[in-house]
Amino acid sequence: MKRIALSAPVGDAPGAVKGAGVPPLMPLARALIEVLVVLALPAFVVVVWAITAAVVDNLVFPGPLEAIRGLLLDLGREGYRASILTTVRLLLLSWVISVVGGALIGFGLGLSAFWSRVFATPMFAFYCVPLVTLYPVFILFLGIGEQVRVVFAIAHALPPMALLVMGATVSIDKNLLKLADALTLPWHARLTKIIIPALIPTLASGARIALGLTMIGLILAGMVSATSGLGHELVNNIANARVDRITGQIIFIVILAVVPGLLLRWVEQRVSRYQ
Amino acid sequence: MRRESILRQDRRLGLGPRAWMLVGAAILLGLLEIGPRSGLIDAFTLPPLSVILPRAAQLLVDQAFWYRYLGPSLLAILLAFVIAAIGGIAVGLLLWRFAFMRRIFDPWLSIYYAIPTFALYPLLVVLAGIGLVPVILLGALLAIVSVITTTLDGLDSIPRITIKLARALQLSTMDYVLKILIPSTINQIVVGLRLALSFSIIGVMASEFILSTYGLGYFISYAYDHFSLNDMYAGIVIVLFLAVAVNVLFGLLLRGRSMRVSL
Repeated sequence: MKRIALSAPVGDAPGAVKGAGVPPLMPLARALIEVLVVLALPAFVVVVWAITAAVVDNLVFPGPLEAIRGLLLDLGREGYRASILTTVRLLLLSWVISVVGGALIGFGLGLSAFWSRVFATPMFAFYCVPLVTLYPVFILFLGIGEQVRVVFAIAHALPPMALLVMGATVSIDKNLLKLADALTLPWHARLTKIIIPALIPTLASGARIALGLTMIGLILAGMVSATSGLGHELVNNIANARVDRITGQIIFIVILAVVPGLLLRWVEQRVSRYQ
Repeated sequence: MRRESILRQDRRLGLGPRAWMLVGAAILLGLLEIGPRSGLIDAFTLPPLSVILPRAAQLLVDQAFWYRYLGPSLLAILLAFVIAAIGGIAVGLLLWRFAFMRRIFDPWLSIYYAIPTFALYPLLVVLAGIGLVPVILLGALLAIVSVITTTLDGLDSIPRITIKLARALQLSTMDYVLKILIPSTINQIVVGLRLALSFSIIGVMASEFILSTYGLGYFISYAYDHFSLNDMYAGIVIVLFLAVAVNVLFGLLLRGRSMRVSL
């Protein structure tokens, strides 16, 4: 919305419509262009990486091919495959709890402008705290296991989700609520016909942000204390100084985080456009 | 004006929002003191606040603590923040100027925080060696995107007429950036800088905690590994104080700016 061609040349004739007279692209061609645009940056990074690796010592700084080879070696291990499954399982669990819990808390608080003002500052302060330094406290209270990693991941994702939904609930168009009053809608119709549809774009954007934060929490927890999971595997390879495998694992973690992130971004854009 | 006065009068049980926040903080602090003393919480797992706070104060006047732990962390946070601020504004300006670059970067900016940047730490160590550099780079990597996105938001909201005026005045590129673009976007940039400072603290603390051998993050990790729980909690209190103080200071700065604007 804000992007309205301010970055376009200023000298355009007033009222000129860009692309006027150009036939619209087929949906498939448009999708293909979108994919190419998304892949342009990673492709550039890979090229720069390959050139840098060719210039410096390959043993210290492996190139993309060595990294892929290292990743394939890891993927051949049963322990690594089990770690992937563990991470994905915990990621989904923490993400669902963060999104549902954050949405409910944010919605509950957002219904009252007063309580949303009371809770906004402490929730934002909590979001800005380096939670990793609190991880020992989580371990002391919850022990070492999957439970602590899930709670730690939720602690990363739930407050921002709640903050977003709270803000959106507080700022729902009051005219819509007045309309519901005028139509004397019952509470469930008001919820399903007005409030939830108004919150959908925020829920979609919160779900995307929560996924990333959950992933960060899980990887960090795995790096500090875990016996399985991708964070643990990464620390193992660091301890053994296997640089090619470290790089391969980083690629894998980034793909695991980026692919659902891009999909959720696409959903978010569709939902916002629909709105 | 009327809405503000209504909000000011809005109270629950005779208390306004700020008073409720203070009540909440007082209850939390009371629980942290009374819980361990009454046996409600195991005092070994969580020592009372009256034990943790004096230890934190002791650490803050200890020269060795400053030299090995707090000093390097503060330096790393400062440098990470400066790199993120300058780099973020510069990249924001470039992406705004070149639409094709922005189109390529846009999807990645929006999902950047899904990428666990901490996983890059071992690679940064390989590239830059063990020392402050990888910690600073990680902090800057985490912080820079918030500055880029808020700079872009600010530039997008500059009225078109302002840009046309700048063109009509035939300003040099440097004057155009320093006298028109940055002053017009300063409010959004300050918001981005506030986030960037928080992210710098998070990035620096996390990398020190996981793999470094000095810094405040390492101090907490070392104390935990060696069961020095008083030291661990004292370190955590210092980190929390740092993070909250930075936020409050920036909040005051933002409020000061908006008051000047409204005057």
